[in-house]
Amino acid sequence: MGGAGIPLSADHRVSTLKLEAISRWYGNIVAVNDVSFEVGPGITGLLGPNGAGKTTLLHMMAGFLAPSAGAVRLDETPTWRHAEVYRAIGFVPEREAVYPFLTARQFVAASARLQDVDDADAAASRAIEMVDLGNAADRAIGGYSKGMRQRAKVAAALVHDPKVLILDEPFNGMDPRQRLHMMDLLRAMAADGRTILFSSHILEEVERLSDRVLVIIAGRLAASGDFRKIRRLMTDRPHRFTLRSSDDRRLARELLASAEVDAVELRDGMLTVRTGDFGALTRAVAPAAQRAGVSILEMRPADESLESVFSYLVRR
Amino acid sequence: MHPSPEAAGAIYDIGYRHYDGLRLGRRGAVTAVVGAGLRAIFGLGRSGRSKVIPWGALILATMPAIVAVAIRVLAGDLIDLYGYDSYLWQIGALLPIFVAAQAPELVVNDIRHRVLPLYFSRPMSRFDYVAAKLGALSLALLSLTLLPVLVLFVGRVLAAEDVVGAIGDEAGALPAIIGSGLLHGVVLAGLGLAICSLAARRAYAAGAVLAVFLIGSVVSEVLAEAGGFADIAPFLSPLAILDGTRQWLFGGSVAESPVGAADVPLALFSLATLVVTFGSWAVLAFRYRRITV
Amino acid sequence: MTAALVSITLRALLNRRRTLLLALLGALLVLVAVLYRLGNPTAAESLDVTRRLLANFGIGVLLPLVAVIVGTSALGSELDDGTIVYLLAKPVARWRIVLVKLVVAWLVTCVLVAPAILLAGVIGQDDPQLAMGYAVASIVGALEYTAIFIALSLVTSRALIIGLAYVVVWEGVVAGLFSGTRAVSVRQHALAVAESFGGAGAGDAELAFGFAVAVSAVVTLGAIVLAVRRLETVELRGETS
Repeated sequence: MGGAGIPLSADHRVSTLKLEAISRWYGNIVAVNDVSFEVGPGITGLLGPNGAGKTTLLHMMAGFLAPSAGAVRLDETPTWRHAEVYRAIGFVPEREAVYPFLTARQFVAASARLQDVDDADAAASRAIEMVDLGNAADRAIGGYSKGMRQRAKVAAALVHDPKVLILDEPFNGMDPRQRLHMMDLLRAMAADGRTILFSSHILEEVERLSDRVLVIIAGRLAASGDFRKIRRLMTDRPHRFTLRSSDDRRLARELLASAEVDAVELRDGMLTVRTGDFGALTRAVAPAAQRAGVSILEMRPADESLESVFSYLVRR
Repeated sequence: MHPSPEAAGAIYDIGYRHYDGLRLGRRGAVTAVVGAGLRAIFGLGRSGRSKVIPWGALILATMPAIVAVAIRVLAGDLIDLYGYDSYLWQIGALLPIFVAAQAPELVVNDIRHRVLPLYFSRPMSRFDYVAAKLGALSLALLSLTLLPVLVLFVGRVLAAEDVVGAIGDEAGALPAIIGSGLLHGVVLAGLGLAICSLAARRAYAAGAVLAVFLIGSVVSEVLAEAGGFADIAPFLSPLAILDGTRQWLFGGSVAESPVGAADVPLALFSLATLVVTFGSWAVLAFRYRRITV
Repeated sequence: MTAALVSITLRALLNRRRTLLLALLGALLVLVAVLYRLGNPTAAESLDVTRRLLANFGIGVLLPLVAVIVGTSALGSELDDGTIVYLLAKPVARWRIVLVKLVVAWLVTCVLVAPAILLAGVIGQDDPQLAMGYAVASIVGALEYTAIFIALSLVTSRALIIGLAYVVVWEGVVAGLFSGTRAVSVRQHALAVAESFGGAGAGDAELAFGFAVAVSAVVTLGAIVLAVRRLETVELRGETS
């Protein structure tokens, strides 16, 4: 598939979505609790368990829900009650319902017209090609599969070339091939300088796609940034490494002598080392191997996945 | 030395248990659906808001009877506000409102949310299901069509000085009271349920029921005054048809009803009632046989 | 932009089986008139009966039923299933959305009601002005009804039921009992218009024409303003959080 197809328009200023101390409550229930961050160009993933407040947060960012406290701004304009902000924002909702009696082409073209796009039909065709819906574009959406409906929604959201794209659980219902295609599309759009924010509760999607991750748990922002850096910050939890060497047991004995090592485990033909100090251990491994007369074949961090970060944050 | 059996260890199976006891079967299923239907209609086990219409209608239907009895007690035989025959016609407006408000609950939700497989995978046939729903709605409607008139009856009897003699006097009206109450209840339940089973949402079902009764009664009223059409007019309104049937079965005419102006043999009304009743049962049978779940 | 809105609304409103059923209601009115006229009634009687038919069936039942179903679903169906987000996520002024929906719903209601009333009136008796009068009344009443029901659909999710209750209970029963409430009954506004335009034969209105028009205009404008304000602050929660 080709690149984004629609380069960012002449206005190359980047668009930043700023959240300033956003809260949202319904009576006694607090759905979002004092969240502040800025979303800039590139792909940001909003990660959280179901019920954490992701959709509430996204709807507030897209101007469909009023914050009970704080404000959401797109480059200084609040998103709530300012309809003109939608010229720069494309939103893909999670709910499946779309006008079932329209074809994808009609739906996307109507979106283009409502967005005041010149030559709506051409823009619609381009958007439909981008999401690879070309061969089904003239059938009624009511007969689409879930994945096709998602793609139609995405096409409608980017037909007006928005600088900001907000997607709520966009990969729901997509098969692996469609998911890869959509990821490629989003990466290409981000490379053009767009700001893309998507939510998910599936770790692999977020890990694979986003440059930055925002973890929201029970309405609060639990962590933000590159998830590997977040992992390094989790110092009250030991890191684990796996090593393969010419003689694991001798290496294990030698490593246990170092102060940095909390525990070693020999299992499945591998040596697993637990340490509280990531940096110190990396410096200690080579000398230890030399002293033991062992050559190291492989060393890799065992728990620097988003999953371990996430489960740590959830249990905190 | 052998260790005693109690000292040996054992692990007990406390997992899933198979049920071997009594199963209530088909009758139990049908009774359960009828009971659940009645509870849904009267809003038992739900918030106060769902009780307003059914209980409000019940109270409004019974109020005139109570008032009439009270007047009887106070003023004796002088004023007779309501007769047994005309009572159902007087409260006629309440019946379609009750059906439109409560009948959709019974059938539309099960269809819309595709819950029917849960019913039909039990020892309960589609016929049983429909019969149970009809039974529930008919019983509920009896509270409007039978109960108030019985209250009137009992009140009159008790208000008389000679209670035993009064029973003798008024007892002649009992068959009419019970008969017409049952008639109205069963026929209106069938008609209402048939209309509701065709609708996609509760609001549309309510609208459809109201439309049928409203249009019927409005057109029949307009035509009743027109020269040549006074004969047809009553056949357009379900309530008028029922009144005609009641008159044929038990006698006693009602002044405001278009039946009086019509110059047709009363037996025709009974025929019309049969048509309506079996027609609605046929619609229900067709609808539920056709549903694929 | 407006054309796209009109197109979507129109397709959504007309796309259902229920539109057919509503058209059948109108056909029923005409049918009754036809059957009546076949009975060869006298001129005076036909005038009287047809007038009552147009007033009680046409304005009293057909118009409000069609208006309630069309009016509550013009915006209501999108609010209900969440597709309203596709309208709101556009830089379109909210008042424009409301007005377009209103005009489309009004026109659809008129098309389903006014011709039936006109036809029934012309068939049932001989004075064309009577038929015109009630048809015009239905057009005016349709505007007021649809404005009210569109506003209602933005206020509550049960707009259809409440609208039906209003028509049956308030306009049917209450206004019949308490003459003071007739001033705020849309049916009475429409009937006043009918009497004013319907010529000599018309006349079941309880309100004076000028008064009815004034109240009607106030109610319609009020409903529009309410609808716009509600749409500006409508909140979409989404299904999960």
